[in-house]
Amino acid sequence: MITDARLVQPAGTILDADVCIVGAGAAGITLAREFVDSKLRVVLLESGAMQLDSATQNLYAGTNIGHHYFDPATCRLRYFGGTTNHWGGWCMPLDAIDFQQRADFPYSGWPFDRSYLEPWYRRAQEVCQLGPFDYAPPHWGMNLNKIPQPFTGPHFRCEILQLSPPTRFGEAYRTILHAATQLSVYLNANVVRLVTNDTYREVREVAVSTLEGHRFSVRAKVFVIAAGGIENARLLLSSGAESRGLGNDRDLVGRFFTTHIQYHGGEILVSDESAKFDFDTGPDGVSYSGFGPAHRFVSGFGLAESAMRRFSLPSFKFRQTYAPTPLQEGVNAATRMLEAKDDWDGIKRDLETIVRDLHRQPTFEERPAFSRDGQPVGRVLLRCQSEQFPNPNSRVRLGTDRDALGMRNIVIDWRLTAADREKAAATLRLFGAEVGRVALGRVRSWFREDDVAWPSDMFGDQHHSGTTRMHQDPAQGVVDPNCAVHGVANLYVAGSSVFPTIGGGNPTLTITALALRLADRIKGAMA
Amino acid sequence: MNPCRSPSRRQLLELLLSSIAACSFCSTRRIDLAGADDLERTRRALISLFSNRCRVRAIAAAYVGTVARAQAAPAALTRAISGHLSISMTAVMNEAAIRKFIAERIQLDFLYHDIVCINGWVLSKTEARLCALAAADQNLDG
Repeated sequence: MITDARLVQPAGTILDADVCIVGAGAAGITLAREFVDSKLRVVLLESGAMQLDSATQNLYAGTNIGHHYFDPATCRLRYFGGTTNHWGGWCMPLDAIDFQQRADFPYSGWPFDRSYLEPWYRRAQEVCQLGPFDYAPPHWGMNLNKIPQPFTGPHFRCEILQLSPPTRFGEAYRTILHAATQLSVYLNANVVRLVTNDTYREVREVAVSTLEGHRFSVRAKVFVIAAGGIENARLLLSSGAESRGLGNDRDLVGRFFTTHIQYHGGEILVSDESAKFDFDTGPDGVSYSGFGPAHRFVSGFGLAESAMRRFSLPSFKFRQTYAPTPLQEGVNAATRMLEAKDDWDGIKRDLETIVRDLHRQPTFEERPAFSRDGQPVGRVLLRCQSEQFPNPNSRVRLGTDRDALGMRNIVIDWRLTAADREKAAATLRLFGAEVGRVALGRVRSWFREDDVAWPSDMFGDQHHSGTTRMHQDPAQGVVDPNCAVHGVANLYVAGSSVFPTIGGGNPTLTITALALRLADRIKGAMA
Repeated sequence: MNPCRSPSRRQLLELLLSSIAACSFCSTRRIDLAGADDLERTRRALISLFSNRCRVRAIAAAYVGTVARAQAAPAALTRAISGHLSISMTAVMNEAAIRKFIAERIQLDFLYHDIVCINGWVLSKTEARLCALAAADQNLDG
């Protein structure tokens, strides 16, 4: 059943349930979906309605005080389906190395390895409406022999990401949730506080309020907060002891705020006449029917695990974008002339000499432009996604402003370290050396050697992670390996906020897998 | 990132390279002890690889700015480019042998990350040194 929280009468009503889930995004809906045939009484509380509503969305308002970051009010969506209402659908599991503790990376490692999570990854494929749990490029029809080095090793490797339609979790699973007899979904139901016993060791109920001020509570045996990578921390910090928050005995809630670092890291000036980039699917992906029904995927590249270990580098993914040839840019002729003066009269002009005289290859100007999608391509740009190091000083916390419900707004203090930048720059240098080694061309890194700045278009994406990180030791994590909040008997967290390290892959598939695992855990415990 | 050098392995490869280069000699000239003449012959052979030495000056200037003055002197550059190959050997190489030798040195540079970043461009040090050597030549008419 899906209903409106404003219809819960009278004010002060206490709803009873076995399981109460807070938040109907990818994690919350995946969890709820697992209980549709269960005898357990489940309540799913969603702040928004079925459509975006500005008053509800404004409950996400907050402040950035660290590295420039998205407006907290717009980088997530607060209605049924959550941020899956605008996600791109790119899915891949984390790599095995992403789960491992690495001596050269403080705070790294998950309490289990990837193989342990694989059964749930396989099930998550279906939830995200993907193909089989198979991410080997050749199995998707990619002929590695047609991919120029160094994209096929030893330090970099071809990868694929499967494309979800993308699944709008709210739309896709609305009917099944509505039909479930033991499951109640309440829209417009904002959880403002987790109410505990006197010692803060057990959650008794959640306090719910609508924007109109209508209040009620949900009492349950087990509570799961699945409100998103930032909001999970906000809810914990807004509950429990006034000065400390809930599950925050070690001042870890909200810390380790991590996301993927996105930027154009450089460009390849291709000098190898035979190089073809036709293998690249482009960002829209291609359809493949080798597994039966057609599924879409996009190709990309990543740093090989062996290289990550050998050179002490974090995960790094990239794909190419293709800049048009100068000829194609007719409308920008004036700009082009200025660029040509800057570029071709200097280092690039000298590179031409090297290519022609030392390597006996046609110059970049002389070689016929290769084309993609029928358009001539001038140069290949590198669109990069770097893993951010876990950093306790990168955090979200409560501010002094309050939202319409009286909850303190969030303050995002996203911080990168010098190591984040240096490792990213080192990866670009490594790639540059590889491109030179195999005589594909030359790479220009857009990390300046004499500067500490990132490439100018760098930004942190919306893969909010780490704020309730998982660790078996309560001194190092907010939740235990089962996603149960340390020190609180019946409270779990679902979503990317539990990721101890973000790894390289896009997080939704892992969020979904962890939610499925948590559902199994709760069902098993309550059987 | 620390360069991933494995000196002993690289030395072995360079010795192998030296042997290959030595076998490539087409000249019947007797190999003599390295001296000023050999150094000059090698320098000339190296800079003659470029068809227009004016068109390497930007890289040269940037590279010279990253090294000590002594390392930017033509003799030092010539010796550095020759690497483990003795000057007396490079001095007697014909153009084809020199080209092969340089191409392999550049590949080794990239393999062992003996690289330099110039205005962001990732270049082998041999490439950069060659540019510096050529640009330092008094006669820049090509």
